[in-house]
Amino acid sequence: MILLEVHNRIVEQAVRSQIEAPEGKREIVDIKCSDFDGVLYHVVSDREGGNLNVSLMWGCADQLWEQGAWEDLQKIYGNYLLNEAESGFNVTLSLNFASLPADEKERNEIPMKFALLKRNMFAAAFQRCFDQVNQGQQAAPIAIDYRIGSETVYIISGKEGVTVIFAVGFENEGDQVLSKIFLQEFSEARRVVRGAPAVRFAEREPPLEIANLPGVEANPDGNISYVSFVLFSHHIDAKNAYSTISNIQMFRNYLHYHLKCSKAYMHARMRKRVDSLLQVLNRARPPPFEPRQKKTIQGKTFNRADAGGSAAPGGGRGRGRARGGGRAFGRGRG
Amino acid sequence: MANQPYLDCIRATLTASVCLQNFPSQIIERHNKPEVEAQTSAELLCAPVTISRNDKQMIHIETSVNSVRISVKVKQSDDTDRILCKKFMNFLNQRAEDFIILRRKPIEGYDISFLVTNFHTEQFYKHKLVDFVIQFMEDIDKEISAMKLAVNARARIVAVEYLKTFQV
Repeated sequence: MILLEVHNRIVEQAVRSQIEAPEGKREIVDIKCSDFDGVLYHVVSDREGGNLNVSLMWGCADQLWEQGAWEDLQKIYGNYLLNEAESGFNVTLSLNFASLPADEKERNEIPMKFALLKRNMFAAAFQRCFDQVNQGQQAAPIAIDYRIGSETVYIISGKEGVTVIFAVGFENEGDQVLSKIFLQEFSEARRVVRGAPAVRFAEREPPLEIANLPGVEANPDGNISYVSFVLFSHHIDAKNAYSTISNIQMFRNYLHYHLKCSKAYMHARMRKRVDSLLQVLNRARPPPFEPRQKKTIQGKTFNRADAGGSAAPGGGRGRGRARGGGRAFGRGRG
Repeated sequence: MANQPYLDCIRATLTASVCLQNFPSQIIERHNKPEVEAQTSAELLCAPVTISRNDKQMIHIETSVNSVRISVKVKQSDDTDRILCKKFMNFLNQRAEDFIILRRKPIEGYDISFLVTNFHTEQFYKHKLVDFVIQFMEDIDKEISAMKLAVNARARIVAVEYLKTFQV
């Protein structure tokens, strides 16, 4: 599983199982689940079980409404979109089981549509910029704090296309060094993959396109890298805009996911190496001294009492006494 | 490999250094400390020896009457090596108790340190202890370069897969 899924699997499965459940056998659900970038979903049936609500909460919702996300959602979700979102959430979709579309195909598309709510919201910002550039105009730079409190994405229009700049933060210097390996490969992958966007990255220094935007400062101590994707006209035209937007949204989470996978792999390797070194160390121990067992011809067994550390109490004295009569200090005859 | 004379020299020096005997503390009654750590009296300590392959790879051996301290500086050529080495050394230091002869913190200027006392030489074969230290050094180098290769390979695949999704 190299690529991350764009839709929310939990929401999709919840909605699907509700739609496909036979009438009367539908369970009452109340699921709170989270998605990438601090997004919260709430899937809840109302008391009688006739309606299913899917709500989303996202810190940057206000910025997305400014970009026209609400109008886009109205176009996509039509009557499912409620005017008033559930309290504490930014948008709510409602499904009434009595009025499901009769068409089988349409019904099957509903779960996926609902699960793409986050993607559709985020898409508005990109779509605005793409539309204007496709018509030959320049748009103002757009900044979305999609991870409230830490990271931002900037969408800048240019002559050759649209530049999307991610300010990616890392927990510590080690992560940033590892990410450098990944980001360097991203920059060089263009040679292998034809038609891919151009990727550039810079550590700690914001690129010129955003250097004079409010809120962007060069922070030499912070662990932030700036990754720029230059999307060309064939990425942003009407045919490919949908898939471009879906993919570009997931970049930051994709990078961090694979960073964590590498760290987990390294941990597993280190554990294995530690085990093998411990084996080598154990070979350095001499084998433990075993008390020598002796048997007489008749089959009686003795333990010699001069075993290291587990000497029988009368051992030393016994040896002395029995010296004349051979080694047999019998423990009962027969 | 080209490392062999370096490792042979280390093996010979270690075999000579790890000649230890029990020595109760001279200054505190009923205490028995590793003299190389306590550094109490000059007559109990031998002159420290440093064997270096180049300025980035060296090993420092300090001997005393009842203990030996061996500090290793691991080869690190770039940033990636540096953090991989740091991660690995942290991992090992946390498990120092399992390794018995490993010291929990390395000496200043080195990446990892061992402390071998007379009690260890009583428990273990001496030549095998030296074997273990040499094996340890080889394994660290191998592990770091293997991890670096793995990360590079993973990065390449990850980047190509992602950018392929943009292909029209």
